[in-house]
Amino acid sequence: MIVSRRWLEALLGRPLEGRDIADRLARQVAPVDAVVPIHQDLRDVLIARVLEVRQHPNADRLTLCLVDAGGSAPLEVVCGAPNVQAGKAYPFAPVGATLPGGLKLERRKIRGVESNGMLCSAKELGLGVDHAGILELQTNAAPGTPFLEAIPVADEQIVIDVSANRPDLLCHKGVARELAVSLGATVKLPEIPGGSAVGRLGGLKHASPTAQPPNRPTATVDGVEVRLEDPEGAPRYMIAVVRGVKVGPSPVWLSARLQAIGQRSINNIVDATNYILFEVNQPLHAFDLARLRGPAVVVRRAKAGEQIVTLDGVVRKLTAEMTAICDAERPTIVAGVMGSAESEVSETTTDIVLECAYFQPTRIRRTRRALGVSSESSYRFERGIDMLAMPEALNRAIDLIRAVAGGEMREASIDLWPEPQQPRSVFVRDARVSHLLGVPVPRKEIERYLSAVGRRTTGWRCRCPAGARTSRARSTSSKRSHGSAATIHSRTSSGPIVPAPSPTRRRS
Amino acid sequence: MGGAANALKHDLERAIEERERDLKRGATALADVDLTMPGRGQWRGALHIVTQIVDEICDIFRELGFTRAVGPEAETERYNFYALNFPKDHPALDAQDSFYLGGDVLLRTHTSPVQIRTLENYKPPIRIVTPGRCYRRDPFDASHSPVFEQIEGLGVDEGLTFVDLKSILAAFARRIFSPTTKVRFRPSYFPFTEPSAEMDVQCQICGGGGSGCAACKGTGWMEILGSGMVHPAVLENCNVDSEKYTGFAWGMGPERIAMLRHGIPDIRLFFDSDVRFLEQFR
Repeated sequence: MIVSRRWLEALLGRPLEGRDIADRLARQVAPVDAVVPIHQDLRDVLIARVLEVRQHPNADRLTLCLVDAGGSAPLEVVCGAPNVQAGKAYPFAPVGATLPGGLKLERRKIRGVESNGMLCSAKELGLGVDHAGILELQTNAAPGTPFLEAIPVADEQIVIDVSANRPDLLCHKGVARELAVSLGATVKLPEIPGGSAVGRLGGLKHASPTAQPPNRPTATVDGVEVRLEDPEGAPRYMIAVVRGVKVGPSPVWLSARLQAIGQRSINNIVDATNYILFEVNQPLHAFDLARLRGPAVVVRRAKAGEQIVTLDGVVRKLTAEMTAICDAERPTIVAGVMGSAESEVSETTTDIVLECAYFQPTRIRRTRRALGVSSESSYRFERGIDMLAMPEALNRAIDLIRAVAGGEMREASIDLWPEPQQPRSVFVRDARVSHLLGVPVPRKEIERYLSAVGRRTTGWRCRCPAGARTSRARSTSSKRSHGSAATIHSRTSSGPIVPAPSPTRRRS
Repeated sequence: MGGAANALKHDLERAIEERERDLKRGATALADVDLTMPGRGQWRGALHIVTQIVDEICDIFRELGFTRAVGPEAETERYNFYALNFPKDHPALDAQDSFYLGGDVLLRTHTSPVQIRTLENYKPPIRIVTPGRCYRRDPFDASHSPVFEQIEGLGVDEGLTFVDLKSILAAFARRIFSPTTKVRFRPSYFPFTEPSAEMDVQCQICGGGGSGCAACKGTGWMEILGSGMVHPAVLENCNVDSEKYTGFAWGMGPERIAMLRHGIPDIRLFFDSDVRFLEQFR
C-alpha cells in the first residue's frame, strides 16, 4: 500500500515528515518498505514572473520575454508558448538547471537571440501531459522562490507492507488513524475543494448508516430498478443516480493526489471514485446509465458461460460461482473485480449510476483467481471492507462527484441490506491480557489504547469501529500500537470483528 | 562348467601369489615408484554452511532447554494450514503459495506442521526446535529460493508469557551475533500466533548507525525472525487446553542468518555447490 505524505497531512491537519512517519508505522503498526520522494527532480525550478512580452525579431511564433526570476536584473528568455502573458507567474528553469529526464539547460541562441533559461510546460516538469502552453501558476510567491516550496507537488510515497489481517490500513484514513494515536492528533476528512458551492447531496436526505425497515431486496431510484437477487454474494448494496454530470479532466488537486500514489488520472468521475477508495477504503463503481438496458441493475449469480468484455479489453467467461452486476439483459460488471468496457463512463456520459457495495470476501477471492485478474477493488473486497461505513463513503463520493463534475441527484440513494448487522463486540479479559503478556496491564490502560484507535469500550466489551475487521482470523482485531492491546482474543470472538454478512461465511 | 571354474581358481591363486611376492619384496624394490613425488591431495568433506548454522542454532536452543524435532516434508493441508488457524480462502494464504503433490498433499511451506504433530503426540510442557526444508512457489532470485531451510521453535507450558518469548529470543540473538547485539520487536501478523511480532537485530553491517547503509536500507535494523504467542485456536485444534496452557513460537531462516553474518549477497550461492564458495566455511 502506497500512501502519500501530503494526503496524510490533509487528514491529520498538521505537517509531517516522511521518515518519521515510516519509523512510527514500523514500530507500532506495520513494516514500511520504502519512503520515496517524488518530484525531487524539480528542485532547480524557480517561480518567475514575466514582466514584458515582445515579438521575437526573427521568428513569428516566438516571443522574447523579460523575466524576473529573483536575480538582480531581469533575464531575457525566448519563449514559444502561445499563452505567455506579462504579469503572470510561471515555472522557470534557469541556465544550469536539470529538468526531469536529465535535460540540462544551457545558455543558447534561438534564432539569433540568446535565451537565459526556459519557461516550462506541465509536461516538461513531469506534472501532466499538457504541452500546448506553459504552466500558469496561481501563486503569490516572490520570483526566485523554489518551485517546490511555492507549489505543493513535492511529496513522499510511504510504501507500507500491509498484512492480511489489517485491511483497515489499505486507505489513508486508516493509516492516519494509527498515526493520530502516536502523534496525539485527530483524524478529520478534509473539506472537498469546491464542495460547499454545490451543497451536500444537493439537499437530499443523507443515506442513513442503518437500513430502514422493511429491508427490501428491490427498490427503484430515479427510474432505475435495482434488484438484489444474490444477498449472499452482496450482503449490502447501495446505488445512487447522478444526472447531468460533465465528464472531463480532473481538477489539479484531485489528479495530483492520485498521481502522488502512483495512480493514473483518467477522468473526473473515475478519479473521484478512486479518490474515495484510497481515502476511506470503499471501492465504488460508476457506470453509464445510458448503456444500461432496462434501466435496471440486477445483482445475481452469473449464468455458466455468460460472457463479459472487461475494462482491459479481455473477453471473460463467467461461472455460476460468481456474482455479476447485470442490466435487464446481461452482465455489466464482474462484481467487485472489474467492470465492462461497454458500460464504462466515457466522455459522452451524462447520467451515472454509482455503486457502493459489500461483496462477500471468499466469493471475490475465488472469482479473481478463476479469472486470473486482480484490481484495487478486488484486493480490498477480498480482505473485507467496513460494511457499516458504506453510507458515509457513498455520500462523500456523491459530494465529490458533484464538486468536480457537476450533476444533480433527483432522489436519495437506496440501500439494499436484507440482513442488517450491528457493530460487533469483542470480549477482552484484562486478567488474560496480563497473563499472556507477562506484565501487568491495568484495565484503564487497555481502555486507553483501545479508545485511541476508535474502539468504544463498554464494561467488559470493546466495540469495534470502522474498518478494523478481519475475516475469521479470530483474535486479530487489534494488532495495535502497543502490543499489549493486541490480546483481544477471546473465545467469543470467533467471527469477523465487523459484521459478518451471513452465517455461511464463518467456516473457521 | 567345472573345468572353467577350476581354471578361474588357478588364475586367481596365481595372481594372489604374485601380488604377495611383490609386496614381500618391499616397495623400494619397485622401480617405477618415485617416493619423492608429492602425495595426491584428497578432498576433505565438510558440512555445508547452512547445515552448520542450523546445528549452531539448535545447539544454542538446546542449552536453553529445547529438543530437536523433525517431521515429514510432504504434508496435508490440515497440518500445513488449517490446524494452524489459516482460514480457508483467506488472503493470508497468498504468502504461502505452495507445490501440491496431488489431492490435499503438498510440500510443506514452513516447519510449523511439526508443531502440530508434536502437540498432538506429547503433553505439555513442550520445548522444541524444528529445523527442516520447506518449499514455496517463490522466484529463484538473490533473496528468494523455492527451496529453503527453516527453524521454528515452540514452547507450551503453564504460565509462559510474552516476556519469556522476548528474553529467550534476545538471549539467542546475543549468542548467534554478539554479546552486545540489541533487538527490537515490531507488531506483525501470523494466523497461528496472537499477538505476533517480528524481531529485528541491530544491522550487522553498519552496527545500527543506519545512514547510507545498503544492507539495512538506512534503518539500522535487520529483520531476522517472526514470533508470537501461540494462538488459542491452534492449541484447541490439538486438544490442548488454552486456558491452562500458553505458548510461544518463532520461525527463522538459517540462510538469512548465514547471509547476515557473513555478508553473503545472494541466496543462490548456497545452492550452486561451488567449492570455491563452500570451502570458505569449513
